[in-house]
Amino acid sequence: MTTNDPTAKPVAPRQLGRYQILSELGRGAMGVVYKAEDPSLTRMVAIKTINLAMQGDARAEYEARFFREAKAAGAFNHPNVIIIYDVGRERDLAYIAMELLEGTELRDIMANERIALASVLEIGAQVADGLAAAHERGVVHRDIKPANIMIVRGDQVKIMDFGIARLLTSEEHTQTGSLLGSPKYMSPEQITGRALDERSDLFSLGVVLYEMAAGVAPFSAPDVTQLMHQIGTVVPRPPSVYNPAVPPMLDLIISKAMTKDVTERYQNATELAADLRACMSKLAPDSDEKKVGSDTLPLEESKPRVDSATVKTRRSEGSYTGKTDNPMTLSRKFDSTQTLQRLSVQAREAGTENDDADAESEWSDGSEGRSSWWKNRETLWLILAFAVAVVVAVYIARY
Amino acid sequence: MDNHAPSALPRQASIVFIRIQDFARRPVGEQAELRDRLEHLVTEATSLLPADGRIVLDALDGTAIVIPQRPELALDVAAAVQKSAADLPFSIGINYGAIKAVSSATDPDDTDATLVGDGLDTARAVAEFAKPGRYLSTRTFREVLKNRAPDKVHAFGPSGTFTDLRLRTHELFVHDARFARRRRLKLFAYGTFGVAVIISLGLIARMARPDPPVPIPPPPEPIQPAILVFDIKPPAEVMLDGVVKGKTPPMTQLETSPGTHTLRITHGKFPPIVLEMDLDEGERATIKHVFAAGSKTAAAAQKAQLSRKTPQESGSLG
Repeated sequence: MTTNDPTAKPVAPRQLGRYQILSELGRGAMGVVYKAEDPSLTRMVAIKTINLAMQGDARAEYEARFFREAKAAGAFNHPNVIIIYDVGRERDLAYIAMELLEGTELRDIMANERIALASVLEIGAQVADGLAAAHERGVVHRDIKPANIMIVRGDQVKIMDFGIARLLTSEEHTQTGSLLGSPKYMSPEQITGRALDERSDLFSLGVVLYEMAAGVAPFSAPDVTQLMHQIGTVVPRPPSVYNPAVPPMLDLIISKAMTKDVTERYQNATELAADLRACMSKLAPDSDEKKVGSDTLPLEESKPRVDSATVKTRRSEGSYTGKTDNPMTLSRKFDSTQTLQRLSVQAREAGTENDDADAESEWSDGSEGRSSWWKNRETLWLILAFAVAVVVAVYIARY
Repeated sequence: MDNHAPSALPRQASIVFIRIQDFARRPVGEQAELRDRLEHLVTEATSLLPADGRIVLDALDGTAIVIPQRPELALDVAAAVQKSAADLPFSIGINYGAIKAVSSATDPDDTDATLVGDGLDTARAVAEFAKPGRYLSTRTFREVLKNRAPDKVHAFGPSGTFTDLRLRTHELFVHDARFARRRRLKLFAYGTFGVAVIISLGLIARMARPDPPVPIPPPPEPIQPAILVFDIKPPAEVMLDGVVKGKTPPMTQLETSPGTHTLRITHGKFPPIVLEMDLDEGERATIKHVFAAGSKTAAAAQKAQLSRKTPQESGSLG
């Protein structure tokens, strides 16, 4: 199957089906999104177009699949899922008429501010709710990412591009085997082209949660190959390493959502939503900043929280340090920095002063020495017993 | 990171890894509760250690306690955790292996500061093989413990050879007090047997040795006879204790045993001379008498002269 060329600029139609095109809202890999009016209901809608300019069987197969998925996605109504009104085709353009949302993409919010933990949990829970409703009907989103999550009216989450987001890429892979776009939020089974189910969406939501909580993406690499390797093998460090305000339970929730093994992951979105809300209830009321999207927090004026973790997070650009696949982190509960620094300095000095690294250190335990059998009390008792026996035997023999 | 100090050399340390079993498969609520319990246990266990003598690392499914010094302390920590976690799904792996500090010398808040190393990975892998309430150790740790605290190593017995997910093979030892008891019993048996053998050898040596010669009592001193010397004229018959001993002369003297004797000397019709004598050993008694006409009376007869000499006197006088 070939793919659409996203750089090819389609001519803007004036009308698609019964919808009057008013303006262009944006462009993506799939096509163009327009603002349109439905004259029959005098309602504003968003029209997402998808180019069907492909040949023969591929087109027929793709077209059938597009309508099947679009219908499935439009067959349910949930407050956290964008409403699909209609699907249709106009020459080489397939289109979907959907709810026109006025809000902010989560991607933009994350780029501009550090999201309060309460909001992280609330957004995550609402996305999970939306996913749960879809999964119940057998619809898998396949492309959960901040750009597909819209925050409307300050606190309501809407999942966009449901069920059709990845249609064009046909299970993510092109004929050459390369991936379209960034696989940053894809699940391990997705990047390896295995069969997907709803648990793949939960992994992607875990990545989104991680990024919101930690302020840094769990997987970050200069090229897709390395990124795919990380997604497949690396267990990212807990978000609390980067943001000490993250409670242990949220670390655990995100970790479970991002488990590589699907059988150990959350098995459904309802469980994930319940855990996020349980975590929210345990959050100290004064532990957080203002919620995202509130009227009193204009995005333009918001500032990142100034703490060491934030600063480092921005600087480090990714949790994966490359030192080891799954490193352990210093416990926050037990202060080990003194010992760690002492160990570090000592080993470094041993390295610079003695290339053989066999210098006796202050902490040397001498364990490489010979066996100190004389420290064994039982052996000593045995030797003592034999010695006494010898004395007694000699006495008996002589007297 | 640019501000990271030069890489430190790896060093050896003891690592106790406490793992929550089947962690990934548990609901998050249970995970959180178990992690709280684990944290509490680790707090108790590490109270045995100086604050600058341990590093505590968190893994998702457990906690690692790194002890750079004194491997026997790792055993104490493991024992403390095991004791308190009897009813919890915690398993413990102990290893002695390479660790390396990865930290910034200039930035104490470095979030990347941690420990890495095969020592940690191995301890973690070992913990996966341990059953709840038990702890396993690697051969390396056991050897180190054997050198440092041989008394404590006897509680480890062979558990088997295990292959981890990275296909590394580990020869592991399980900690069980029964191994130590069994060894003590064995040592006691060996000791008793050894002592019995040694004492038996002593007895055998004692029995095999020839008896010392029985001391022969010195022969009793010969009893020196008392000697009766006769100076009797004319010759007379001598009877001692009723027994005729002869005539004197020719008999000039008579040896007899010391003691009381009755000497009777007779000559013809002269009244006999009867002497009751108590002779000492070696005494020399001379009886001098002359039977003459004037001595026909009994009184005269009794005038026989008797002179006595002690043996010393006899010796000195010849």
